[in-house]
Amino acid sequence: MRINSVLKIVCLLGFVLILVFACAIPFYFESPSMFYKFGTAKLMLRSGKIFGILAGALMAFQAISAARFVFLNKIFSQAQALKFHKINGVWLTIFAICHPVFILWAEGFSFFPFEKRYWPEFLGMGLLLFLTIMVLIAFFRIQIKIGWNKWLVSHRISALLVFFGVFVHASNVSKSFESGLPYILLLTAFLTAVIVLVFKWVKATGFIKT
Amino acid sequence: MKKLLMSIAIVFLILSAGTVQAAQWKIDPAHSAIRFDIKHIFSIVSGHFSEFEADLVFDPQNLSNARIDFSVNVKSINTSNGKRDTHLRSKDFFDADTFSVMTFKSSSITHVKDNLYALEGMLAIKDVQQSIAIEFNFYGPKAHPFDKKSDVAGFDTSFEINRLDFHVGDGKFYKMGVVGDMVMVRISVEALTGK
Repeated sequence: MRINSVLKIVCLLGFVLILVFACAIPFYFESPSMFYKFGTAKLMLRSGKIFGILAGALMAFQAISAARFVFLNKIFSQAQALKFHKINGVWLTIFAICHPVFILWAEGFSFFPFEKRYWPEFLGMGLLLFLTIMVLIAFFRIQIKIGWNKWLVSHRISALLVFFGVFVHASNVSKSFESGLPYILLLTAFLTAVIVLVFKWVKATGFIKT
Repeated sequence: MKKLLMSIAIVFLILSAGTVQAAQWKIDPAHSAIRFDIKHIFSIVSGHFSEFEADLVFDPQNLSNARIDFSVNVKSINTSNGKRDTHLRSKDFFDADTFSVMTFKSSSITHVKDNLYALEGMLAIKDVQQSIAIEFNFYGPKAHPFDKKSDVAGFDTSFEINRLDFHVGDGKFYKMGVVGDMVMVRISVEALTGK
């Protein structure tokens, strides 16, 4: 019981540390767009980037909490994991919404023209809409009368699409994530999330026993 | 007699229509451009506006009726860097949401020598209207090599303006030695008219 509490604290510390490290990326790997901003605009732009990175990091934790690894099940109960998954989902959506709002705020809400070269930004807007709908459906599944199995399959497929979309969006929208350590971390988070989800699905089919 | 008068009137109408048509030029957007160069610390950054319209009425033989008016969609600015263009459209520079169009309206056109003409007019960028005088070259007209129904002519000019005179930026980046104040504008137009 005592060991379990220690492991819980270690897991929570790891979670917080990863989030703190994610928040530090826009400070240590500044993109050139930051050079030209001052005062409030700079604060808004950096905050917008931090919100986006936080949303991405929390997404990776969504995959981990959904995978229900045996070792995590020993530390946290299934109810705790589910509660975390739900609360985490809400927070990542809030952060994802704040991400473009703060970035556009830094530019005086001057919106991008509908041009091909802004596809990573428009992909991001599409993803945000998709993610919001996905979260709303998850919360109001019963009210809108979607069966559990149907919802679960669509939720998993949607999650994979969102992970892939976020990876493409982040690696193309910002200079910070084009190469170097941030890109390696982004790729690692994306691959981890995908492997974990695929592992869970294969496990659900009964091929793998854990 | 009635028929004769009618025939004369028709011939006159055709001829006068032909005269108007010869002076009215339509921009060939694929072969026309509004480009600009501006200093960034040490290098020169080039860009262009991809969307613009022009009202070109120009006949070298009849300059009294000539006019060269331009309107440029500010949001179409392109310096081959999406992030920079977003910044240029923002309140820090063009404030393109509030001032979406730049215009030039000519007031007089005079012949200088050979192909060279002097143009005066009002340049309006953001909330500033300023009278400017520039020179431009007029080439042609000649039969279009690929379009037998059209004549083609060329107009080109280059001139410098101070972006700060037009409130394109508040001078913050200029004082930092990052973005220059003088902008070299280069306009090259190929225009067509029906024969």
